[in-house]
Amino acid sequence: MTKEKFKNPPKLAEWILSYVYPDRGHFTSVGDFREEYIEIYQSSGPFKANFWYWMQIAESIPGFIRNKSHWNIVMIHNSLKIAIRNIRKHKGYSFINFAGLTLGIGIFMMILLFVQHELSIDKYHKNSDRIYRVQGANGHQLSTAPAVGKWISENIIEAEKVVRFKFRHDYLVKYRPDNDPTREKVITIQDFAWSDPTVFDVFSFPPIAGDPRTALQDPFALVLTQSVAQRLFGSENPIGKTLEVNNRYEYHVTAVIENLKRTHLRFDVLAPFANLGKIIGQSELDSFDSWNLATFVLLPENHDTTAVADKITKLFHDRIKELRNVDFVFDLFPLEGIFFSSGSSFRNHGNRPLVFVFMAVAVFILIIACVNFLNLSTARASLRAKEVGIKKVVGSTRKRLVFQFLGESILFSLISCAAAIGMASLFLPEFNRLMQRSLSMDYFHDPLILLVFIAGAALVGILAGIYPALYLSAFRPVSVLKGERTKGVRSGIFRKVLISFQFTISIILIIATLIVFKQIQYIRNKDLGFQKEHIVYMEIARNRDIRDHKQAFKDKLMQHPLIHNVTFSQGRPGLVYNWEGFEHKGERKGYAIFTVDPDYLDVYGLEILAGRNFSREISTDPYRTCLLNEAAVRQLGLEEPVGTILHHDDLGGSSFPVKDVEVIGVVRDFHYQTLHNEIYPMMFGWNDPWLWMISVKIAAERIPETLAHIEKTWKEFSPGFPFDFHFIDDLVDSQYKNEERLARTIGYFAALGIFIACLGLFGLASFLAEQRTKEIGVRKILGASVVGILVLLSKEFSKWVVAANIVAWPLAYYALNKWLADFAYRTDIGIWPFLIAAVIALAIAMMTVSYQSIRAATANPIDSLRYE
Amino acid sequence: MGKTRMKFLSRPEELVLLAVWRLKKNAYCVPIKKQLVKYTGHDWSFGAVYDPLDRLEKKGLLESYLSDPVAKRGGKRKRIYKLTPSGIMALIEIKTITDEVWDGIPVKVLKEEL
Repeated sequence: MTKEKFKNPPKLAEWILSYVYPDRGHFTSVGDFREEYIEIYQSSGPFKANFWYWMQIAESIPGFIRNKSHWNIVMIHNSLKIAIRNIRKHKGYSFINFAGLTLGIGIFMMILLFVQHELSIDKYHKNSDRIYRVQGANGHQLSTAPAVGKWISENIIEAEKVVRFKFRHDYLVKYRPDNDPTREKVITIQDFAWSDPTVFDVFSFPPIAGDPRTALQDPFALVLTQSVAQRLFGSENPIGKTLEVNNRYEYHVTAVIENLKRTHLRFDVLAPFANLGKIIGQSELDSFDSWNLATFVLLPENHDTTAVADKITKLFHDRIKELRNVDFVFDLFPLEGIFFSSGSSFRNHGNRPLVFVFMAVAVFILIIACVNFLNLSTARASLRAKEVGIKKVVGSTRKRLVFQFLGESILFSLISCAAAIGMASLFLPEFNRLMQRSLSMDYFHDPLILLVFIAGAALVGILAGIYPALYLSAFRPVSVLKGERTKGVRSGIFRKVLISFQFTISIILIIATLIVFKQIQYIRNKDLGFQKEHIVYMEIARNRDIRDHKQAFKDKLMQHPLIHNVTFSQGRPGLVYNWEGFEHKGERKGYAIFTVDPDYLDVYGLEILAGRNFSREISTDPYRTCLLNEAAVRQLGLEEPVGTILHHDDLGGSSFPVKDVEVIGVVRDFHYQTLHNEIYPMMFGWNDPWLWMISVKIAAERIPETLAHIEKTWKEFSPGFPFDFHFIDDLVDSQYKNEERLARTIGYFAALGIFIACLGLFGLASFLAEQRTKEIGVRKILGASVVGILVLLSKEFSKWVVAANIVAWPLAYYALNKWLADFAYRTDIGIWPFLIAAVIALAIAMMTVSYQSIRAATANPIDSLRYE
Repeated sequence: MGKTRMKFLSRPEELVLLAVWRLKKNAYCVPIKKQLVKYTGHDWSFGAVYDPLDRLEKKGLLESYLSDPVAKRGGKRKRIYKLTPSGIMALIEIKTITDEVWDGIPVKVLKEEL
């Protein structure tokens, strides 16, 4: 017989049918349908047959849905009931599970917010991918001169728009409503920026009032951020109001924009760049000497940046050639990368490695929480063995049981997720303070994000629940119902490995905290080469009242017996204001420049190793001579540095307006930058008009009285400017606040990680103690001591914590070594942080376990043996 | 006849029961459906056939077993139905009662009343 050839129904249709059509065993109905299909096919052709088949499917779907949903709801109702009963029956364990998951998810959420924030910086501008900062190709010179931006906008056609920013600190802004002096309001604007009107074409700062596009056209216009507008005007309409800036110029408000967020730029008030020319002189605006502007260009889409950068370099060289020989090369740096790049102040910084470290920590803590869940559920599996057995006997499939247990863990994690949202909103302010960000939960108001998050929580539930679900559903009903003890212990090794894993993570975090703190301590105590204590520091850059009467101000201050000395400078430890190049024997080298007066060395306790200090007796000292530090002498390779002549041509923006500068002395090296850096060659010059920082060395005692005198003197000279001062040691220490923040944050994480791990350990320990009640009872009757039993119970756990240590040490060592490599001066890691972390972890684990162990060990054996 | 009370069957049930008897060893869904279509002129869906089959089986008038896999059906088995003794009893009963009730009423007489 030849094999009959049949035209079969489409595979897909058949598959769907087999799924939706109520079956009578072995897919007989599918077979029926196929027979009919073939018949229709033979009599009426494929079209009719297919149509008929699909219609059959369509008709059976409503019934299918009705059927399915009904029974599912019945089952879900039942499972839910069982889940809730289980939660209530074992309140302690349930609480531990909830607490762990909630903490884990909550922390994860906050860190996610942080990471999302950091990665979204400057991406909201409409043209963010087309905006570039003009800077030096060497990566150090990040600012440009005013003329550069001007030349680019006039000559480079690729640059669609050019915008320049000049950032200034601490401007005074005064508002006098209706010219009524009694209602006058003065506020200090911390970040004040001058910029071109094109700023709003390049960047997309959302406007609140006024039209930003025309806002900076008028040279006496001001654009405020919302918070400044509110501080000045309250609920009044700010547009058109007149403000006085630095007690000198009157401006009017033309627009208000939203407070800056998610951008590296930092300013509260924008003023038109054009007017800066009116104030400081047009020549300064065309200058190519003062390199202190941030210049941004907007390029056409997908444009080759190197070509444009080359053009800018060429343009610059052409313009400047006749004046001097230059070898400066320009580069275009993408806006979106600026936040994470290193560079100047006046802007917000991000730390990309930190973002990744945080992400890793968040994931780890979540894993710790999941492991807890997993651990407790499997450990307590035997408690539910009967349930599984009965369900299987009455016909439940393994698949159904897996879904039931998975459903339970998903329910757990969803509830935890809700609690975590509450927790995160509670702790977010503290987290913000720690990280110096202004994150908000608003992000979760977006339904899509919320949905994704809920899906994520469900995923956590699945991850945490899949193993217990598979484990529980695998019980064989015969053995379970016969009352054989299911081995909660069988998977013991697996669970203990998980516990060690949790502790490994926690131990790494503890070690990290200890070492970061150790490094900070090292920095604090390191001899910086200068005295930082008891120096009061003030700035008078714009305060002409004092700046023009420096000597008188100083004399007045010195009248007080507790004031030892006063010096004026440009540059202080931690703030180098000027870098210049000098030539010696045909080689050009760069130096950090501190422009000071002769008292500077005395105030900061700097030591002269050779030659002499600047002297007021010698009229040729100011701006014709310099002092070098040891690093500079080493770099020059000078045997006899005093008397050496250094040359430069760059007279325009220099502290030394002469071509030849004579070295008159050598100063012992001191750490004028952070300890991240080696001591770089530097020189002191003396040029009185440049000095606008005041450092006052005061006595250690009666400091408030001394400060009062300084303030009184300040007010006498300059009533219009608020008295604002810092202590140098605070300023120096604050350079390490990033590190300190890191240490504190990691410290918190370590504590939380340990806490969550301990929750799990506690649960597991109490469970195992419970399981061994009978054993302990028998042992006691046979004469075991309480201590003996304690040792017995603790031994197991301590073994695994020790194992965790062994794994954690090399990992921590590697990671921390990497972190320390960022410092030029670093503490050695040493063995102590490791040992301390080990002891802490072990002690905490012991304490956690001991509560249960002691309870079990001291229980009366009569009670423990009678319980059956 | 000492009257035991009759178990009422619905008309589709009656037809299906009869079809199963007629088909003997080949009484599974597809031919049953064909018979029903032939007798009634209606288009019967599988569901409409399975429904009375399931009910009759539940009432104990039918029983079913699975055949060997059949290539034409994509390797699927047939569920073949068979009358139980009470199924046969039911057919006898229906036949008897129907005959009794219709006794002496030829179709011709009914047609005359049109």
